[in-house]
Amino acid sequence: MTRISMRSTLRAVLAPLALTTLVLGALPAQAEWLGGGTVHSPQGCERYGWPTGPEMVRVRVRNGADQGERNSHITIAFMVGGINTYRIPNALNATAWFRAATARSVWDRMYWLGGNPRVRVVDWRANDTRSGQGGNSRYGEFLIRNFNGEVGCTVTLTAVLRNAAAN
Amino acid sequence: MFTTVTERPEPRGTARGRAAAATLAACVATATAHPTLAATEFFGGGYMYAWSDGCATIGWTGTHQILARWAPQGTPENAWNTSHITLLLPTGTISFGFDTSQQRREFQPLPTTPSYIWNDVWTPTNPRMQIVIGEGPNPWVDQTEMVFGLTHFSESDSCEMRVVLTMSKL
Repeated sequence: MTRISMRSTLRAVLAPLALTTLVLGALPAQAEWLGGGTVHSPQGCERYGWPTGPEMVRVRVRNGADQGERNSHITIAFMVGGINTYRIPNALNATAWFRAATARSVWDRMYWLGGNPRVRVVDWRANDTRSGQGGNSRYGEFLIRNFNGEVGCTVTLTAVLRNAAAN
Repeated sequence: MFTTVTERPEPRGTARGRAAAATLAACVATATAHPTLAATEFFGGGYMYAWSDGCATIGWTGTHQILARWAPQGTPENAWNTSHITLLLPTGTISFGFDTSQQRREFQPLPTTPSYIWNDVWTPTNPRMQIVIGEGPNPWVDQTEMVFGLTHFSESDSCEMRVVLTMSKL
């Protein structure tokens, strides 16, 4: 009985999902990476009161290299609601240096995040290689300085993601 | 066109951060006060996707963003032979126990009955879902990755899902 209810719930979400797939299908392959992970290892964030430890997050990433765009985008959706989105120049290749980011957040409304946000791509590579899905999977690690508009607060974002255009 | 952040209107960023921080701090306090919190617990997220064609027949296609909690076996105050994981999907929640001590690259039955929570808790009387973990996840580090397969996903006849997670120690 419950099983049927569960499936009908799934059917209810299938229509919007199908629409999403159609829209995504019109974009180049690997236009979007979809997954989750944690924002963790906060440093210098104590005086803001958050984050104090790891936070579960859903993550979307667009790599500029995938669609010939100049910028890459990292969007973090927190479990309690609220989003941070960071735009950084160039493709998501790992570098030893930080890149100046343009950051916005949405809580009760959209805010531009000041305080000189900077992002360093520590790692961006295939991770699900044992499943033969290396091309469709990514492990991403990012250091975010002046996170969430909090000057002096640095966090690490670690996420695993899959090519949204893959079936 | 990319412009430097110094040109951005910035007045509310930090204020917003404080407001959000207060709200979030309250949530964190509530979470850590949970009475059954395991002494060793990880949480994080990742994705799951349909590995076999049979998943489409029960309505599972494409990639799903998920969050997860994991209480690894053999760690302080957790069972020695059963790990527990809860997969928080956008539409519902699945929770089950599994055993990583065998480290076999073949599917093994779940030691506890899985619970599926959508509009009700469903605990199947003859559970069929099985798990395969090729490489046991390491519970002795602060940040860990986990990849596993679930056959008979959602107690189905032929759907195998693949789950990929990264998690932080709480």
